[in-house]
Amino acid sequence: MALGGAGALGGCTGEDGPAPPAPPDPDAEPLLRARAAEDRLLALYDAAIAQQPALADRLEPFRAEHAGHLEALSAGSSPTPSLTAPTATSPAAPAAASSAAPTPAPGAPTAPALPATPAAVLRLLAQEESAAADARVDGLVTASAPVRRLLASIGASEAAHAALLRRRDA
Amino acid sequence: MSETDALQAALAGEHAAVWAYGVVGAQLPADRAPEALAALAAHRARRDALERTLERAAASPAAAAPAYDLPGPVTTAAQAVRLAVLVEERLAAAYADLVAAAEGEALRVTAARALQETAVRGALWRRSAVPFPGLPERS
Repeated sequence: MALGGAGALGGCTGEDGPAPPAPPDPDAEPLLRARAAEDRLLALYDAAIAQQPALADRLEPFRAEHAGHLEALSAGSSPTPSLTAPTATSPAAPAAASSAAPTPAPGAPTAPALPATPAAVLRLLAQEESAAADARVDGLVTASAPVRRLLASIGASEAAHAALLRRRDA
Repeated sequence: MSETDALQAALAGEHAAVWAYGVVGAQLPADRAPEALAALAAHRARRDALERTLERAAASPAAAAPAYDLPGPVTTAAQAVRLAVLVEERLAAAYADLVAAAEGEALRVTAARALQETAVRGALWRRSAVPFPGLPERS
């Protein structure tokens, strides 16, 4: 990694100045974003399974893989609380497009609004998985090589989830 | 692994995939043959793109082998599907390594998209997912 930027050339002459700030961790932001995405997907799967128990057998394996992603993304990094409430930052919110969202539980901030039918729930999950897969590609610009490899694999898993969710018979 | 080595490894995987899908397609029932044909076309396109990338880097793209060892007999549709899954899994690993080795953003993104495609095809052949495509140490 290149450390010799313009910032490093600044006033380093005196001995009494504060220590120069540590270079920013290039993995911090992509890992944080990826963890927030996994939190969001886990909440979505939880809500979908609660609302559509008949889909549980089909959705549980995907949910379990997201739990594995979250664990891998959290390993070796400082236990950052998933800052940004995932729902607040999600620009997608495709649930808003669905017509008949069930009445949201009052005071349940993380429960995403879900459409009413099983088919629409599967579509929503597929859309969210695809969006997560796309977002993991964005993290590849800055991250270190090992983290890039992990992020790319997680994105590939999410792309595969989306494809399987869109299959009628899977 | 250098970027060039990772490119060559991915290219070798695409050569093998193009060869293997010929074997796969011959054993599939008619209703799944289009999937094999689509996969074959996708792998040819990735192969050609990798060759061009290596040529631009003044590297000599690895040639395809005349034939490849199969892990076992491929005389049934189920065996053909298993071969397709194996091909995609090996390619996923090559592309994951390329994501790590790639020095430029464009190649990282290309490799990540290729990894997604192999994971999707692997999942559709398998009819199930794996948590970490391309990371054999986590499987």
